Parts: sequence; structure tokens; C-alpha cells
Amino acid sequence: MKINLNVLKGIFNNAILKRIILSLISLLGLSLIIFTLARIMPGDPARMALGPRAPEEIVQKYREMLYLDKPLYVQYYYWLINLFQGKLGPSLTSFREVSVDIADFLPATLELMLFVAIIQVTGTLILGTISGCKPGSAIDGALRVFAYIGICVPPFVWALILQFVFSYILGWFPATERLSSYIRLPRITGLVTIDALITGNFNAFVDALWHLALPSLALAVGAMAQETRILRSAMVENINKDYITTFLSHGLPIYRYVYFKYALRPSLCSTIPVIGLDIASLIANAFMVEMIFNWPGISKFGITAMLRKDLNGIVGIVLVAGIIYIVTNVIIDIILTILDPRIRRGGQQ
Amino acid sequence: MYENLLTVKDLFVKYKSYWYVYHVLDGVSINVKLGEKVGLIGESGAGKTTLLKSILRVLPPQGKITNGEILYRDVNLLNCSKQQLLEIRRRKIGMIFQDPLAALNPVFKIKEQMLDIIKYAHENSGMNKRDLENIALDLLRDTLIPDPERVLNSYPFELSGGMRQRVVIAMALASARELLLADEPTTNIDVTIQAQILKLIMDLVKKKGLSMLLVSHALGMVRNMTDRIYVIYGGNIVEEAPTSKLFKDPLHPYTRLLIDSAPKILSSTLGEGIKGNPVDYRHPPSGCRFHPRCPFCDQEICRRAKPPLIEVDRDRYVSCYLYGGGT
Repeated sequence: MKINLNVLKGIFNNAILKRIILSLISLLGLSLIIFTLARIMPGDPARMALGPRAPEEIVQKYREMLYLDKPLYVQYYYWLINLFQGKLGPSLTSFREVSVDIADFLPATLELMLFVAIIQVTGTLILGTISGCKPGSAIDGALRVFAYIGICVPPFVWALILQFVFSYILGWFPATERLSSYIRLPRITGLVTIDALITGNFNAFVDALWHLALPSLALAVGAMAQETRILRSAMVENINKDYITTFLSHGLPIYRYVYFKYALRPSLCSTIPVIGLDIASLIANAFMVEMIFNWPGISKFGITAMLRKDLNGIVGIVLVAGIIYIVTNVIIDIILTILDPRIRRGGQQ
Repeated sequence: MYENLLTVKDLFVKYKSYWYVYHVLDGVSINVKLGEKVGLIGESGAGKTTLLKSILRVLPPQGKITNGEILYRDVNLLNCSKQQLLEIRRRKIGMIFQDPLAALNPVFKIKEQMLDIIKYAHENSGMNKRDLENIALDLLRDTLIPDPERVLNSYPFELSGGMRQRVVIAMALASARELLLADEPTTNIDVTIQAQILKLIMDLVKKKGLSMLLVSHALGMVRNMTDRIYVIYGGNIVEEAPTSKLFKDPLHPYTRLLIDSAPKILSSTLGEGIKGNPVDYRHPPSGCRFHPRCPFCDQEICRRAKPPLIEVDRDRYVSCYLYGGGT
């Protein structure tokens, strides 16, 4: 697809820029809510961090260090000042800076999300188009059954099934971890596949993909099933439209032009927002699957933070989730604006 | 005197839904001769569009042609090779659709859509993109679009209804080298430009020497544009006559009522309309499909057997027992 620069310029001038600014404001609102919530919940974070045997005066000192003795708005003020210096405050579980913790754990989750997104999008495009082009056929029926099963079974059950079948019984894929232990790879971006490509270590790249296969498939199946149904029904609807008859009546090749071009593109306009939402919500859905595959992602850090009332950890994780959500949505908006001229040119229909 | 260009013989078309079978076309036969302009009139739901779509084999998947023959010159479109069918769709027959907005894909530029169509209409002619674009511009100029360059670079939703219909006509002309099928080309556009569009189609058909099959329920329009008319009711051709004779002296009761019920600008009273409901295709009436609504139906045979299309005068055919055909 050709994208000329003017189109992109137009996008950034108007809608997307507005979206980004609005998103920043809502991020600030999100931080305020989660900051307050984490602090008004019962329980004494300083005491929980230092343990029951720590002397009271040390715990009191720790409270003062975290500004927990100050009113809430003062705490938020200090937190904001820290934020603009790129700090999220000390974690009460690892006793490190939360941003360092996140930088440590997030890449593994991001890598997983990336591959889930790739599987999900390609799978949806292929399966949805196949069943949309031939509604009522045997393959459409089979995909329908697959879709219902896929939607009904939650990701962590898929994770258990896949791990049991392909790793325990068949032994085709590794059950846990991101990389085989004999492979040494320098940490550059933290995304193992990308690091492997940067260092030109092809073995490590294949090994990383091999480890990624099961967890990303487990996370992708459900969403893919749902999106396949949406793309299918959009295709079926669009194939009955007059413009498809127009192109057929002019003798254009039925699959290459009529279905894959003129029916698919308008159908994508209704499918892509759903794909976007599903990908964004992965950061939350990934928790269980990461635990099952012992994936060194953000889930373990997140769960410990919640259980131990790690104030700064909780706020940090929620903010990261929010940012991922917003970034995904902005990307989806850009794709949609490219696909659908009615948004781009501000049409009324 | 004329060579037969398109012949439809005894065509039966059914639509299947989950619960019902709709018996729409019930043995329709028509023909269009080379250079002739033929009209097909009838109320909404009479099967006019179904007939046109059957000719190009672009019925929706629920629609099935169960019997009959569609000959284009000597090619039977119902059992010809795929390549022959594509050849006819690309380079022989062009079709103008009812709703100019629905007939254009909303998310592609006019240019993209037109060039794809023209590319296949001029397949194997070794033309580059520039040539194809010039053909598109010429076609748009033919339809009297003031600035074709701008229209080519617009999306359908950026154009007015009249403009869109001109684009649809231009697209149809890309494929119509011999026959133009026009499916109610003015129903969905503004009244004030309907006449312009009609005149445009007339002029283009004359200029390019095309034959035409015009489908409509606007009688005035068909009267001015055609040489010969078929009247269709409930999936049956009930009358066929040269245009002037049909309007002067309609024979079939349905034709008479149809012409009477058309609103006339100079009359102070409105037409009567036709009492009763259009045919329920799930359970079409036995015998003559018009008999439940027919004011002249007094014979038992009307309910029993379908009246044959008989020649009552030179070039005039009617399917009604009032003019014979019964035993």
C-alpha cells in the first residue's frame, strides 16, 4: 500500500495529535486515581515492607522517607516531581527503584505481546477471510466450531493444555523460560529475539521463537477466535453489497480483486478496533499465562506488588498498562485513518 | 432484419432462504437485437433486477438459476467457460446499477476502482498506467463531468449523487462495448437531475452505437428511450409490444392498470393504483400470477393454468386468456 506523506501529515495535524494530548491527560487522571486507591487501602505498607520484627522507630523513619506521614496531596506532589525526573519511587518489595524493576521485567512481556499480536493478526486475516468468502461451506463450519471453543476457553486453560500436550507429552516445545540455558546473549533491548538479531546470533533467535511459540499461541487463540468471527461477518455483509456486484459484473478476478481487495478492506475497518482492544488488554491477560510458563515478565512483579501492598510498584504497573493501552489505541487509530478515507477526510457518511 | 444480440429463453430463478424458497423468475423469455433499445417495466419486486443480474451471472449466492438459457450472440452464458464469461463481463456488457452510492466502494478512490475495471476491459493491450488513466479521464469526460481529474482523485462520499451516477455510468461504459444494461439508473438520484442523466445515457448509447436493456418503473422515461417494451409482473413477462403501441393501446389488464396508476403532471386526480399485494414468491398464485388482483379475471382457467404468451398482432404478444390461448 502506498502512503503518501501528505496523508500522514494530515493525520498528525488533526486527529492523532489531539488523541495523544487527550491520552496524556487521561494518564494523569489514571495516576491520580490509582495513587489514591493504593494509599487509602487499609494496611501499613512500611510495616509490611520491613517485617513484624523491625523496631517501631525504624518503621517510622521509613514512613517519613516515603512521605507516608504527610497528607495525600503532598504525597502526590512529591510523586509527580519524582515522575518528571523519571523516577517512580522505591519499590517496597525489591527495595530498588520501581522504574528499574519495570525496565527489567517489562521487555519479556512486551516480546510476548508482540508475538501474540503477530499470530493474532495473521491468524485472523487468514481464517476470517477464508470463512467470509465461503459462508456456509464445510471449512466455514469447522472454523465456526473452532471459534466457539476458542472464545469459551480462557487463555490460562489453553496455556495448560498446550503445555501438557506439546511439551510434556510430545516434547516438541520447551515448557518454561525464554531461552535455553546454554545460550548466552547480551542484553541490549531486553527483547530476546531482537537482541539475537542485533548480535547476529541466529541460533539464539530460533531458540527464542521456539520458547515463544506456546505462550503466545495460548494468549492468541481466544482473541483470534473472536476476531475471526467479526471479520467473517463483516466480509459476509460486504460481499452482499452492491459494489461487489459492480466489480463482479465487470469481470474482475473474483478472489484476487473482488474479495481480497474490495471486500476485505471495508471489512477490516470494523475488525481492527477489536483487534486493537484485544492486544492492549494482553498486558492484563498475560498474568496467568506468564505464571504458567514461568515467563520472567511483569506478572510476577505485579502480583507481588499487589499482595505486599507495594504502593509505588502498583502505581508503576498500572501506569505502564495504561501507556501500553494508549499507545496501541493510537496505532490502531492511525491504521484506521489510513484504511478508511471517511475518517481522514472528515466525511459525513 | 436485426441480429439477435441477447436472448433469454424460459429462465427460472429461485432464491433460497433458510425457511423458504422464493420462486421469482417463472419462465422469462426476452431478446435484445443489435442496436435496439429495449425496456423492461414492472412494479418493485417484479423480478427486473433479478433478470439483469442473472444475465451477467452475478446473482447473490442464495439465488439459483434452475432452468433456461441465456444466449449472448451464440454463447450460452449458463454453461460457457469461465474465460468466455469473464470476456463478456469485461468487454461486451456493461451494467449501470440502481444506487450510485452503494455501487461504489466507499474506501477506495474512484481512480483505483476505475483503473482496475479498465485494466481488465483492456486486458492484453499492453497499456501502461498512464494510458489507462487517460481512458478513465475520457470516459468521465464522456459523461460530462466538468473536472474529471478531481473526480478521479475523490472518494465516493465526496461526490454528489449526480456525480456518482455519472461515475457509475462511466464505469459501465468501460465494459459496455455492445450492450448496456441499465437497472433503474435514475431511481436513487435527485429529481432535478434525473432528466439530465437520462439524456446523457441516451446520447452515449447513440454515440457509441450500443444496444440497451433499460429496466425501470418510471414509465415516462421508458417511453422516451426505448423501441420495444416488455412488461413483467411477478416474474412473468405479461406483454411485449413496440413502445408507441404499448402506450397507445395497452392490452394486458396489468399493463393498463400500471399505465393508469402512473401520476400525470397535467391531471388533477391521482391514479387509482392497483389493488391487492404484489406476488408472494413463497407461494405464488396458481395459473396466471396476476389473477388475484385482476379486475377482469372471471374465467376458471385463469386460476388453473398459466396463460401462454400469444401473438395478437404484428410484434405484439400478450399473456392473458382475454385474448385467447385458452382451450
